[in-house]
Amino acid sequence: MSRRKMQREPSDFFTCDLMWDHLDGCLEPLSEIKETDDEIILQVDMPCVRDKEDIEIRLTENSATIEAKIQKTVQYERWGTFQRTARFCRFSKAFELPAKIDPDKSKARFIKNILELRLPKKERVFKVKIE
Amino acid sequence: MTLSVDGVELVELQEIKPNAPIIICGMPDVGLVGIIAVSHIIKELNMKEVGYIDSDLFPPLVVFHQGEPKYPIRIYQKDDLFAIFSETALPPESLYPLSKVIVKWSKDKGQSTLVSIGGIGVPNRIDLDVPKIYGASTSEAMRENVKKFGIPIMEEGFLVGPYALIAKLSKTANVTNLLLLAEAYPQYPDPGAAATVIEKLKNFFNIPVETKTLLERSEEIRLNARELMRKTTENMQKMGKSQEYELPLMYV
Repeated sequence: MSRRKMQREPSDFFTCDLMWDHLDGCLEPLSEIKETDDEIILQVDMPCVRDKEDIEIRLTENSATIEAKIQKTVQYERWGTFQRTARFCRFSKAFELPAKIDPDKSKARFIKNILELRLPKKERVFKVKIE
Repeated sequence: MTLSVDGVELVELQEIKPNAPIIICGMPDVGLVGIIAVSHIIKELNMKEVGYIDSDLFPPLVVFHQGEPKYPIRIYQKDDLFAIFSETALPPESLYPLSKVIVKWSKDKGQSTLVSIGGIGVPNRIDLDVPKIYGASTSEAMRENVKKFGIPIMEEGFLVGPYALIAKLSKTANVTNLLLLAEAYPQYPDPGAAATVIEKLKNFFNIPVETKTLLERSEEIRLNARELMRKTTENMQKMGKSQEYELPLMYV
């Protein structure tokens, strides 16, 4: 699964990815994926999300999808060059994970408006003792 | 007055004749700490726009504020305090001439202290309520002062990016450069880290700036600065920012 496709405005001529979907009222959060031998650590920066109850996390063995409601609709009266009113009410992002994980054993915490997921890998790395 | 160095121009909108100025710099870097801190200081002190920096090496853009087109890198003044900040991400190839013009201008202004405000990316920032501030300086006297203010000195390690160049060029030009670096999220805008640096800065130079409104607007800033942060992260990767996590060879 690739990152949630952001709608382009006014047409799809941009070569860079935008971090918003004006039509869907959705913002893409900043995020970071780190990998250790045993787990994948996924961090998502979600300012203006009130608490963990407003976040929905969906996991499969190889993907994570995060949706979160923004506390108060963010409204820009004259948004960017388009000079239109734009409203954003949620964050949304889908991640393709670099390794298969065990969704049942995954853990999440939400501190300082940063969501941190610890996703244990399905295939663990075992240390071998040298005889 | 226009100062031109290697294709980068610094333009004063009016003649500037300061007396031992303090020049604070906010460039796009880790956690956007410098940009957030310097833009807050500019607003709080109601500093006046007195110049800009431009170059063919910068992205071909102009920023509109209240209908007026502005250069993305601008210089502000209040008395003998100056602020240089960029509100756009800067391509790595522009940093060397940009740093040169900043250091040359500081030198020309005489007895100046050039203060670089930035961040040091730490992986455990999420668990830190108050990030630590580290200091560094091209001047031994300044390093002693920094220690007296209870700010630990960055003893060993690499620094990569605009502040590294400013430090290097300041050393060559005999300009006093002070770096105040806060532990920060490497890839997220960090107003908390910016507020902590401002607290140190205001005590150090007796600058009357409060951080209450900055902290109150923290989440709004994080939300609005996402795209600048992402572009800055891309540029930091291009310039080899990860080298800051490597151990230097100190046997020579």
